[in-house]
Amino acid sequence: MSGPVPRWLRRHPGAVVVGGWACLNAVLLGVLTAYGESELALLLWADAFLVLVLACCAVLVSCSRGPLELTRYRVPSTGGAVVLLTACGLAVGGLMFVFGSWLAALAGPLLLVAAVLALRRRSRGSV
Amino acid sequence: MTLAPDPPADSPPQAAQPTGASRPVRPASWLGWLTTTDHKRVGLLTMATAMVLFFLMGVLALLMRSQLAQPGQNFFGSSMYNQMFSIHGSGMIYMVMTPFAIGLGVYLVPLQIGAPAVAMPRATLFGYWLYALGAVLMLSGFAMPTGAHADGWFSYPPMASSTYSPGDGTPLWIVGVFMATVGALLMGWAVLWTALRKRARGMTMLRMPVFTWSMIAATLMVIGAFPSLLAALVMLAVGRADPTVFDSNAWNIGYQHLFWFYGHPVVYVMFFPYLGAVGEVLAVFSRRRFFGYKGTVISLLVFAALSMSVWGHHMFATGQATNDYYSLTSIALLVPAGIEYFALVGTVLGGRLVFRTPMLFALAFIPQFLIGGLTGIMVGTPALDYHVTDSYFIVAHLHYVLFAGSAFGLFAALYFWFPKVTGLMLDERLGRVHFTLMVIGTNLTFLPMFGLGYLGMPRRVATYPEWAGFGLLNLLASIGAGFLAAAMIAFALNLQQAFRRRVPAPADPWQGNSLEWAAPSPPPRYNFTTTHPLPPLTSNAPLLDARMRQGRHRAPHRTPNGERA
Amino acid sequence: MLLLRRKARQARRRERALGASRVLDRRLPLMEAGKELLRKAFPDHWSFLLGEIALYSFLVLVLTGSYLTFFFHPDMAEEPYHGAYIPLRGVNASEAYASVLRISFEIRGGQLIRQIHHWGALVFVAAIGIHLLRIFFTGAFRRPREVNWIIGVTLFGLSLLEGFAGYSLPDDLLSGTGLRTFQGIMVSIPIVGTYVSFFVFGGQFPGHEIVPRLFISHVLFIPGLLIALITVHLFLVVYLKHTQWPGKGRTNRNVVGKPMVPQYTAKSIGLFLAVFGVLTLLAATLQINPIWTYGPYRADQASINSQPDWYVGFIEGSLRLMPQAETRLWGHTVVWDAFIPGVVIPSLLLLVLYAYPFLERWVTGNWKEHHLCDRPRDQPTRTGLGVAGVTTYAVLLGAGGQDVLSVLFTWPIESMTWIFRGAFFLAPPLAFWLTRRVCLGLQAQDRVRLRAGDGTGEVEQVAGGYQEARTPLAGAEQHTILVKDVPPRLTADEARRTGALRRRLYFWYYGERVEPDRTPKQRRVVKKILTPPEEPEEPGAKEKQQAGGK
Repeated sequence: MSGPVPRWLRRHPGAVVVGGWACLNAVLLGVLTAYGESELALLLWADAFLVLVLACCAVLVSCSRGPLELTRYRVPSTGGAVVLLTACGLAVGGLMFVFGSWLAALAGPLLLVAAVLALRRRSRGSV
Repeated sequence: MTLAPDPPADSPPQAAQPTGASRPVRPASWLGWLTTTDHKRVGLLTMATAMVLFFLMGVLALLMRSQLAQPGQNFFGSSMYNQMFSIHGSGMIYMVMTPFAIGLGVYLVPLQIGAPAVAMPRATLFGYWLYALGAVLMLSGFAMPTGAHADGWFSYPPMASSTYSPGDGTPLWIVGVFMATVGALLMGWAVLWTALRKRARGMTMLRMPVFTWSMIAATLMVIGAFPSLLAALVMLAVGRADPTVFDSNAWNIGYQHLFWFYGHPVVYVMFFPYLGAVGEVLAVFSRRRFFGYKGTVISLLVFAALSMSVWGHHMFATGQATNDYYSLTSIALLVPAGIEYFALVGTVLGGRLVFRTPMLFALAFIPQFLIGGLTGIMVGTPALDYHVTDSYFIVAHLHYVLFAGSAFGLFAALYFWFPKVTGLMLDERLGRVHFTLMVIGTNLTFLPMFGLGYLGMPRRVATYPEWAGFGLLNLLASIGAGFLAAAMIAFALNLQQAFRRRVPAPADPWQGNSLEWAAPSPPPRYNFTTTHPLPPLTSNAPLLDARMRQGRHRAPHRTPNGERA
Repeated sequence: MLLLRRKARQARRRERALGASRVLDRRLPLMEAGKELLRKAFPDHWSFLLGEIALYSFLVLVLTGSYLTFFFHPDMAEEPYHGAYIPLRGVNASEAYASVLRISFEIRGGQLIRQIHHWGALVFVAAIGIHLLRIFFTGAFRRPREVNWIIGVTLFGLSLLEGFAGYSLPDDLLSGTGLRTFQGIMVSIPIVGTYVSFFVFGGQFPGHEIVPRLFISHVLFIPGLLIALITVHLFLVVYLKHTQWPGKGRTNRNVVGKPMVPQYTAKSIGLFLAVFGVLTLLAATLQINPIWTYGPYRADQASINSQPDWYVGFIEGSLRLMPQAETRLWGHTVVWDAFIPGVVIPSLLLLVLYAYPFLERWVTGNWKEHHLCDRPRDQPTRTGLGVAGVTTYAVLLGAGGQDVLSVLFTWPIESMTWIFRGAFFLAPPLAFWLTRRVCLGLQAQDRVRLRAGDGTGEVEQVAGGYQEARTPLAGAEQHTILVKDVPPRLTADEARRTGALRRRLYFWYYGERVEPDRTPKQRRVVKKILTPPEEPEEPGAKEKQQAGGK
């Protein structure tokens, strides 16, 4: 980009990007409606738009609450075992849709052990 | 009687002191890998899993090509062939290219923005495990008596219903893909949050490298589009329980809308990170900073936004989508794509080229992706698409963009960042062998397929008759597949020799531009240390700036504008 | 004024109580028992309650079982059923079967009591198993508790027999199929098999004797043995004192815990009520053993999906996995494919359990008394062996349901059988190796944590690099890591004397260990904590005592 950056762009770049993107989407959605696409397609677009708006809001809220660039970080370093157990429990739980709900007898204990480990970790006060 | 904590001894930690034969035990070695919260390990796990699956899916492809080499062959039976192409496609898209791209981001983005870690380490690990277990579930369909899912990677109903796809293969596929997609969503969200909210001091948005921007665009598409796949899979699951759901056309076409709303952005998720990697490689091996940085950043975002509006071009032939609109938006994609393309070309043209293996792959990416992209524009025109849809033309197009394009970008990235990730150097000669075989193989395999599609060979056929005249082109394609297999073997050999010979890699073997090259090879737990600190963050190529300040950088030449590149 | 009156009232009450206790003490050892037991210390940990769960479920079994004996008729004479359950009316059923149906449908509370009894049996054996695993993994079977371990394993075996006898009493189709299996196993014993079978069944199978005999065993002989052995078992726990986890103030020579009265007693009574409550809840909400859907036993009928109760499932699994194997010797058939899985494998299991403390003692040379529990990770080989054993048991248990699994996964039953056969040989070594690596990894992690402290997760940029702040471990945590059993040294002299096999096993057992870095002071303190009661606290103290005495 050549030339000086306009003031409004310099002061709220995030808002400009999100606004620009929203406008682009609005235009495209309008064109799609004009072409007469089905309701489901429009609904799909609106829902995806909503999800992304929520994501943008989360980012903007986080930006307003803290520094934009960091020197201090919180990096949790423990809890990997809980994650592994939970993922295995959910995988076995997912298999319930394929092989029947008796697999809950396998998934339940796995998730229970993961929950117990997580609670013990929290009560011990570690990160 | 207490064990009051004595001041810790300054002596280095001793190895295990057993009472018998001893092998030093490192703390939490393989178990530590499986439960790690270090973003580099999670990224490596993801990429390694994806590479293993890449080889497996490649074997499926070789088997298919062996059957199609000659007309009238039927080694595997139609049912098995259907399972093979379905799992090959599903595996490559859901379980290889997408996770590898996201894993690359998990590894590199924190390093490139100067952060010590990714934003949500445990959620990222959780995402990896969901992906890995999902892949296992999807592949375990082969162990079922009725076989794996056989309805293709988009799994249209009503064929995917329990009436027409009986057995456990399809439900396993549904659950597996669902889990892998949730995993990709989690990892993608973590990468996006890292890039937006965990940048180091001095790393403004417009100082982030091109790769990180491509990851931002890709993860935005992940968040916008992947939930649609989850909805589509839920719909399929409901249909498995009650097949009458698909008796009404509204749900059938509805599924296609839901699916392709995901299905188009995902191909850009499988493209942007590799494009970003190619951009990095081209800049470094042209000894200059990336050309047209700001234009590329904007066009990446515009491309991402626009790509969410084109999904209907997969439904031209149904007659139930507004073809005009989707054709318009699909062709409009040329604009941002073109900007990025010209940025790549501009980087090369103004540079002093160094032809190492990563650069070779990146340079090959440029023309090959052009072929893929332009044929995409061709089929973005409904009239042309009516003729070639669901034919081998589409197969050729998608393999040109995803293999000749993205996979070449993948290997460029791999050869480029391997020294950083492992601290070892890959062999240059074997790399060239790999490259040559791969270029020959790719073009020999997929170029004839354009002809086949034009001549009318449909896709997903287990075999074809003698009189159709498809024999020669198919034979060429299968020979090309053999070259690709040889290329992969060369690559595997290259990896193996790297770990055996262990040639150590310095922190910055290629004289890179971005921050990851300031960290040691391989980077320690929190990426940057006092001995390998963050350099001053002056632009999107801070290391290049540092070299220029120290007078160690030989500028290639002056550009037409009279600027120093 | 009020205070004085209250004090006087209290004094009078005390007088009366003292008088009453004096009356009793003249006739019963009240004061001696009280002195020993009232303030007895019981260490406090959730894993120490597992044996109590077994004990209290046994108590529930005795209570509910007694109620059931009032209504059960152990009689195998058959006549047409004419009770309350209409679908079975007119069907020939034994008096035993009919009486259980009467308990279920006509006796007030009968079905509930019956289900509590059956659920209680399932929980009883499970609790014994988990309690056994706790004792195993914490090394609480070591000297001086070997006899208690033997009694415990015997209790385990007896509980299996008791449960089998109990669920065979109603003489229904499912348990009758189990009896037939039992008879088949008996017959397979070489030489004496047929005689044993005829003796037990009073003739050909099924005959009319087995249910009355099982009844008297189930109600008198085995419970009697169980009660006697449980009493000895508990007495030994009290006499030898309960093991404890290492901690502040806890050594190998003392016991720190809650006093018997009131804390421990209250906790125990609470646990009993909780067990009773959970069993009742299970019984009231989850149906178990609905014998009216199985029908009475007919020797010529057997349905698929016939599995015994879970605790005998491992024998069922071994039977299903064993390939066909028979030999004819001098006109007699030896049925290996029933003898080995039905007799040899369960006997081997029991034998290994019985012998383990002595085997471990021989291999490790660890003859001292141990009253402190081991963390499982600190004994990688033992933990690995335990997990391998559990894996074998689990494979056999799973194989017992291989027909059900085959239907569920739509896999051919032959494939299922071969998978379990492979798993029987491959899974235990894999589990052993995996567990050992995990234990060693955890030990190494402990060592790093001890040296460098725990990560706080706060990472800060310092001079362009990132560093994480670490907190040193709390004292209790350090104590747990530092205090662990030290393997006895194999002196050169001893190495020469013992055989090559024992030496090899010793090094395999202790082969890889990760010792935390201890300062000399810490080493002395740990040694003092670990000194067993029979040795003097400081070396040379005994000599000093003798010298001083002289």
